[in-house]
Amino acid sequence: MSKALPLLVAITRRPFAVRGTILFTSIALFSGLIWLAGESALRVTGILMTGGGAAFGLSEAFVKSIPILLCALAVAVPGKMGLTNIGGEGQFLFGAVGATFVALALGGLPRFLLIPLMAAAGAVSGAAWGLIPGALRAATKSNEIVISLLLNYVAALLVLHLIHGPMRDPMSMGWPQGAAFGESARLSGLFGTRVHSTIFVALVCAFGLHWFYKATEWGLTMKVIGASPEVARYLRLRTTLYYIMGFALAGALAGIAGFSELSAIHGRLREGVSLGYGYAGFFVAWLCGHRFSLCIPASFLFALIVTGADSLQILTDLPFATVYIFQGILFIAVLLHEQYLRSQRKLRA
Amino acid sequence: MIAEIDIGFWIAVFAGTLRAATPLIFAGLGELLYEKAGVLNLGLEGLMLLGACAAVSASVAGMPIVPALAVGMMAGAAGGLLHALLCVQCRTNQAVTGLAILFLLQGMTAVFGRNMVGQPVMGSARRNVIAPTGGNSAMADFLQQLDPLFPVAVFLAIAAWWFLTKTRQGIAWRSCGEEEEVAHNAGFPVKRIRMLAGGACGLFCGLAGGHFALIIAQQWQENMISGRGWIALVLVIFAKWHPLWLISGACLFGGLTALQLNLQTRGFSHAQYLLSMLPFVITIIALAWTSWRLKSHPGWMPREIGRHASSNGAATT
Repeated sequence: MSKALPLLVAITRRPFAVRGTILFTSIALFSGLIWLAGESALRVTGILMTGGGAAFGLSEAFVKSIPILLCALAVAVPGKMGLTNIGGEGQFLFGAVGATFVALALGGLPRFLLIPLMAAAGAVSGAAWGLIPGALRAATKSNEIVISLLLNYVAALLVLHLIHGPMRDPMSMGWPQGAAFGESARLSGLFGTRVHSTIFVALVCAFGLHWFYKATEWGLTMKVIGASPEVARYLRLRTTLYYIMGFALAGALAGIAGFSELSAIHGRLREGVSLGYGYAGFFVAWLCGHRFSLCIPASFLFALIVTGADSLQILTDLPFATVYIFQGILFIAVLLHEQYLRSQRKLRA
Repeated sequence: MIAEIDIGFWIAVFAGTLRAATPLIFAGLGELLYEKAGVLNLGLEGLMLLGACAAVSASVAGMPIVPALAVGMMAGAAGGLLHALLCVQCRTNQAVTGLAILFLLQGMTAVFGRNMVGQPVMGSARRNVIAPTGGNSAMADFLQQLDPLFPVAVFLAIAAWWFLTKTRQGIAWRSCGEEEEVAHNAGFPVKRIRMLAGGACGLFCGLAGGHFALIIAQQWQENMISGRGWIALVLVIFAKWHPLWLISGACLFGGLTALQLNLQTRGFSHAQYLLSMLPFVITIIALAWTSWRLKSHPGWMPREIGRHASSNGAATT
């Protein structure tokens, strides 16, 4: 016993073990809460951690990791500059709206033209949506967290307006949803699963951003701005431009995610196209400390949990929002750990 | 078919304005007190959800309205203390901690409230006690629709203003918000004051949520606050951190909501979702406008807000 304690401490000092400890403590707390809510904690946690189980859960996790990865990158780009973008959800939805416009207006085009056009429309409209908090932050110093979050509500209401009004499918017997896309506007799955080719786009974006940040002058500028806005001002870096472009790039990434979800999965604009992907991306990016390449495995792991939460709705009577409990607990644990590390560093200095 | 817009319409809009403004004032006051003590809480929305969920579950269990509201307030205070524990005692990033608590509470209220969705709450609170029965004048009509807690909200706002400017304790709170070092050297217990302020913030948000669930919506729905917490947060900035300006700001936003709801019932239902966007769009404009003005009037904002948020977020407001 007397030897076990220092050993335990030594183990928890190891970064990997620390992360594991945090994860398991969070899972334990989460299970406790589920037990309090009157469900079988073991079963619910099991479903959540395995994505509903079996091969289906695994392939679905790949499908869901695509938008989550793109949304995580959308948080990490402004995050590198010390900005917080929680508007991934709104940028995702606005990108989806943009892609829908193109899909319905130019439905006659062949696929090899239509799909890139839709992706471009998604990226541009997402970027436009992301531009708003970025520009307001740069011009007026308004809090970009609050503005990007409020824009999520606006985008969600916009989608509701479109599917109840101007874009409602006349064939849907009064059910509020947009018209179905033509065959040429649909991305097909790879190898007979629902995993679509946007996964390559997302991976290229992640590695590309990693390279961009490490190897280019622009990346270095982002780093300086993030480390100290005062130094950036002293060096006469164009902070305003970087803030705006960072948010626009973020919006474009989330917008592409919106396009791919519609084109590959839903095939039409409807309510609930996003399973909280914007918020999941926010969480993943924070968990990775805004490191682009780390976002890839983290997105997949979190997609597994989101898939599990999706299955929870069918297998138990718990709502999808159950996943937010886990997200919140893990988030708090990570924040505490980060703070602990910082205080240790301060002590040593 | 658009119905006639008569005096009844405007009475309904006016009473609806005050009703919608009441939870905004409550939540805004909580945030204002906390920010005056130097801490930013972005989890208002979650604390309001917690208050609403707790109040409705008390009400569904058979409690009358006032004790049910008290239960909501207690639950909210617990949530506010959790935020204070993390931000004040452990010095985590204030902005992101607020968001983490928002996630946690949004999930918890959805899970714990899943079996009482749509269940009716005790008593019909909208039947007003102070309204005279009978009589069909416009005034009686108005009093009938008036929110019983609106006067309470105004009273609390005045009390908060008096507390912050006229009492020793209030000055101690404000000094914590302006310069922590100075407050500490003056002998004020900075951490204890901030913990108290965090609890107060939660208490007020719980009241706001309970009011919204029991008196306005009269039922529980998952994620029912739908952005009101964020509007209240912006209202604090829009009111330049002054409790009395908060009332007028809340009435402005309450008015937008009431106008939108009443226009919907009068036949503008095809633009329902566009009209619902209005409060959010105006909130964004209000925040940008006030932030722009803050650049030349930095004294409006308590200076300590968002400090110790050094890790990753440049959490300026």
